[in-house]
Amino acid sequence: MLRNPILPILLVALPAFALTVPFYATIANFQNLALASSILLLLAAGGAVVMISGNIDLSVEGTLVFTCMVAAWLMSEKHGGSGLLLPPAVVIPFSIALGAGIGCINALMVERLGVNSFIVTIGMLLALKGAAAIPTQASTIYGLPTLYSWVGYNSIMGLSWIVVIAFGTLVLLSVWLRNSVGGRHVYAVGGNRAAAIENGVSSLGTVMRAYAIAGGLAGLAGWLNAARLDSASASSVDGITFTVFAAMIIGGISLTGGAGSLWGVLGGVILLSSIDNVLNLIAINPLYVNFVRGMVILLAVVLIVMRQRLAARLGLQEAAA
Amino acid sequence: MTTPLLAASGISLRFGAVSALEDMGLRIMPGEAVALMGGNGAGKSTLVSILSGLRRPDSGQILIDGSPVEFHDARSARAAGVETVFQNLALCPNLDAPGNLYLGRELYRFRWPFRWLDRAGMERETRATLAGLGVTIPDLRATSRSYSGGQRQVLAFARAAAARSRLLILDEPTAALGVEESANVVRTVRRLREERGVTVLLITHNLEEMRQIADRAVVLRRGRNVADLALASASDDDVVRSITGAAAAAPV
Repeated sequence: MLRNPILPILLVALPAFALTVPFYATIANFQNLALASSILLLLAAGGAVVMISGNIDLSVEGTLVFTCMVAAWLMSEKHGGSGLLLPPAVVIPFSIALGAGIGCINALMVERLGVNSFIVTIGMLLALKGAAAIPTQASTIYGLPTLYSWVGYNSIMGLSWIVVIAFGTLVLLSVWLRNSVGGRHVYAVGGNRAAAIENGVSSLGTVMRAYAIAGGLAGLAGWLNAARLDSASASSVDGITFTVFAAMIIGGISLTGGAGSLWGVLGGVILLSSIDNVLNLIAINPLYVNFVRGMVILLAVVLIVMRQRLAARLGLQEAAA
Repeated sequence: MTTPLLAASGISLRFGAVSALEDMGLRIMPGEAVALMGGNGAGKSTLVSILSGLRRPDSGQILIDGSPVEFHDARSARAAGVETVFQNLALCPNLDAPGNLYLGRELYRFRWPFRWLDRAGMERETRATLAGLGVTIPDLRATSRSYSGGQRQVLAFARAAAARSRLLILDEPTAALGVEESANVVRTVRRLREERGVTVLLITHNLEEMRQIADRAVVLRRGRNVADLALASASDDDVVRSITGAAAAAPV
């Protein structure tokens, strides 16, 4: 409980929503909620791996729209498409690899040139969002190949394939992060980069892997998002960066690196998606939505700081005893 | 005649206009304990970072057991049997004792689909290593953030001693420790020498510590060798005069 405040918050908030908000605790709404969480979950999970490594990745939103627009451009001939009509079986792996490649460029600038990751990735975010709008003159590409959008129209045991893919990816990534040598190095570099290097851990390799994961997952999320909407547009996830960071921070990922788990991020995503969902269900004036989300983030941050203070006080007592 | 365990010669490294090391040489025989002395900026830390693979010299040669080696990173220095206890101890505050002890050389069980950490194995070996050194850390699974200064030192020592280290480099091992903890460090180093014949390179400012651990003192000033003194016959004054550069001028 002391380690991560998200679980007690969820244990209070979700039953409260279920009891007070009509339709919240229905299967249809659960399916809706899971689908709405999937894209955010992939971006936040990848961003969290980078943040645990002691860096920041603001560029995932840009990577998502850029890879997805490139994919749509390669597959389409109308609405500004290239006319190449490449098959989805080629385009989907390519767009994930493209995202991972963008992550590697981020990592090279951060580790090799020593530029602050905040600056590198905010530049990358702007560049990619801009580049995503150029080939189609900012218009939306409709009519994507059926095979590409298949995951958006089909489900298994009531769950959209989008949800299955997103949550399956989270489970695999979490197992890797906690139990593999590579995942351990992500924590080590984020905890004390100099110590990791002095013990023979490659900080370049580790940070590159973290950014490649974040970029690759953004590429994956770009596919799932376009499949869900059955269209690709450079503005389809405008502003999701803020929600991604809110989910990570509420989920207990330390801004200074080396701490946090992907399960906490999942909790943050569930909380934020639920709040959006509830505001939707009770048909609140949309003008209040951002205010409520902002207040939730501030409240969660206050709880996190209180937890740290409490832990520090307990630690002091231990030292004195 | 036996081959030196470490023979470094002609080591030079410049940082821009500043020459950190110039034609520096160091020979250490197997089982010997050598103290590397010198004032601030004499080049001691630079030499440590070269010998532990963190920096590459502009020129010079390093021989281990008579064969030339090239250290690209900390891993390659370790592979040659050179283990360093850094002044900052190089611990990750967010990892537990086994995590720090095996940092950079984690034990793993399977290679597929990734290298799975062997947590149980690392914990068992950590326990054995600490026991072998005659030290204890109460809670191995606590993160090293919660350890006392002495416990952190013990952990960094255990890491360097756990491996089959041939040359143990100690960079100001007691600089941040209290009296009792410093005595512990000296005791541990002596024990490692007696029981395993570990060769030691000690970097220190402390003359008492130098005498307690080392047989010989190599003195650096402005990146050059200025003295090589057998401590059985040299006085503390001899060492201090070499460090400060008063050796030639001062009448004995």
